[in-house]
Amino acid sequence: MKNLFLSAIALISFSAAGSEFSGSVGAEIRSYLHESGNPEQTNSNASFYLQPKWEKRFLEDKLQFLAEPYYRYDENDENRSHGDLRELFLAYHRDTWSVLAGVKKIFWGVAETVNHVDIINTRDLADDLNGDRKLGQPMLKFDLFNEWGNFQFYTLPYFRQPTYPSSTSRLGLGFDIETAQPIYQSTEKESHIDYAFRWAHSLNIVDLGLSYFTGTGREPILIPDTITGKLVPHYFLITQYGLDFQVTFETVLLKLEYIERSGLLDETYQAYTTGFEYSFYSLFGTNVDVGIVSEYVYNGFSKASFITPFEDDLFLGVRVALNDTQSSEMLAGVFHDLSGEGNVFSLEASRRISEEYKVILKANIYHDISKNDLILYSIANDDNIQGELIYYF
Amino acid sequence: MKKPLILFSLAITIFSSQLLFAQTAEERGLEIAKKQVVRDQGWIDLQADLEMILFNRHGEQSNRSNSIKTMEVKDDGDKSLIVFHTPKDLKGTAMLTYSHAVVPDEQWLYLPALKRTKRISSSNKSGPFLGSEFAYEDLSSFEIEKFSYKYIKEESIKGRPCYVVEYTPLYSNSGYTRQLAWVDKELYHPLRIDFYDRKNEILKTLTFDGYKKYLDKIWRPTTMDVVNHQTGKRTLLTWNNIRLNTGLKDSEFSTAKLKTAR
Repeated sequence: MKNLFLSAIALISFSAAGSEFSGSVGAEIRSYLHESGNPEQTNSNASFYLQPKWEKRFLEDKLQFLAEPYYRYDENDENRSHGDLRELFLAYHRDTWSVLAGVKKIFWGVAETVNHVDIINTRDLADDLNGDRKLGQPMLKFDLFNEWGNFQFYTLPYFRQPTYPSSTSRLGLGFDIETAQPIYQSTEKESHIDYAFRWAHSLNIVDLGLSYFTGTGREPILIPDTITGKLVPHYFLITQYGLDFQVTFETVLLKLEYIERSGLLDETYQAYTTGFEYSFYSLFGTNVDVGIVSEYVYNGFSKASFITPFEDDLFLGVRVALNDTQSSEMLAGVFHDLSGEGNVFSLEASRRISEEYKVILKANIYHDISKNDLILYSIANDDNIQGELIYYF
Repeated sequence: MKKPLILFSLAITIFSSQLLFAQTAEERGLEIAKKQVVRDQGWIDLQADLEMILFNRHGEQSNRSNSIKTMEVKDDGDKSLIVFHTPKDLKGTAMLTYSHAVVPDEQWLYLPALKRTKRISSSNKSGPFLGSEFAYEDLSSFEIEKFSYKYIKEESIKGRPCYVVEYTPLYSNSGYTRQLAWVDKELYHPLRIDFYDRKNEILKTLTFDGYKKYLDKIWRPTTMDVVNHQTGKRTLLTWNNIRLNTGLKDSEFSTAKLKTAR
């Protein structure tokens, strides 16, 4: 990664003249609602991040260069203080095809909660345990665009391990994870070449995607080392078929994401997210939109609790958009474990406060979490509220 | 029993002669609307930069800048692609719309922070565009089938003789019971539109200004100024750098290309 980073800086300084420069910097204060049992842990946490972006287009916009590094400093968690190259690529775009080489973030899927089909990037869990943040993935990508849709072909030459909060931090997993000594099923380890394919198309009210992945699975199985007591990540070679689709009616969106994955501990299993979003537009003649979001998340892996908190869970949420000048929005919801017990309440609200600044308020409450819920149990005492101030430049 | 038949045929004669010689207000309205559409055909595609200034009732401003590409589609609504530049937190956000006359529009939003393209419902037609006084339906393409029409009267605006025509939305989820449009008698483009809310009370007045001729036949306004009479808010939309028939390709208006639009 070091070499990649250096060459990135070289490329950036080379191209900085006349390029488009933007980005954001943010400060975050988190407050925990309960005392920690561990005297080393504090009840509050401060952190900031910087994410600049350079973009330049050449040859009548056909050639695109983009660099987007990321750095976060965290007051208490040394793992969370980290840098990453979210994106650094060169792409060539034509009407019917495009080719891209470099590091990129990719999103696949339609669901609001758990995106099973979204497999290209490893998650930056140290940054946010909810899995929304992604590490940049090195790739060679080829796209075809025609009347039958968008065909994407990926060659992924290098695997990146997920990051984790440090074991001593709050909102951490409570275990040391031996990321320095991972065990790969492939003898080529992180240099195993992975391949992926996706076809996506829109037909009237239906948006459809079919996907395929073969290579090192992005989530490890964490197996305790009997001598050191540390958790050792085991990475397996997997094959995954994915389907995602959304049907868009006037006020109802219906969604499904479905995968079949084989290779994890010699198992073949299914996982899916399905649900709907119903919107009340211009409520009572005002500009306010209110949406009801409900999704069911299922994971059929026999050891699902090792890789996800959501094996058989129902999400119910409310989204409110004021549609005002400040783009004030809120999503509040609860995940309820149907087969075990426990609820996770979450809230995220945001509002622009000037042309350059935005504030975000977040809250997470872990209620009645069972010991069998391995991931959630480790953070069950870490109910928190968080404020973020972001400056865009 | 012959009498009613005679009366009936007499009624038909009167009715059909009205059709032949005297247009109803509805027919006259429709005819004006059709001329509006015909006069605005043949621009092929359009590219422009949009500057919006949003004024609240205290006169405080906030700005929005976007770039827009649209494309004429034969026998259907236009395709359009809007890329947001400011406010900066929205930079790179892009909206793709396939508008249709009667069936709901198709609409996608690209969110650059997540690299995610979301198909969104287009039924929030009455919702404000980027927090402005423009509703989505105010900015969508003008198609004959979207309204029923009624000619009201003739009236001049700023020295230009106009037809005043009432548009009644036929599509669902409109925020209006009706619109009153002042259409230039000579050039057949709107100079002013009054919008009446669902309670049939005056809501907004939109004024078009600075019309310029492109491709020797197509008239486009430079500014669109909308004042909300109920809230005192106002939005001034300025079209800069308008280019018509620039050779845009259909492939640029695809969900896959939304990610790299600018």
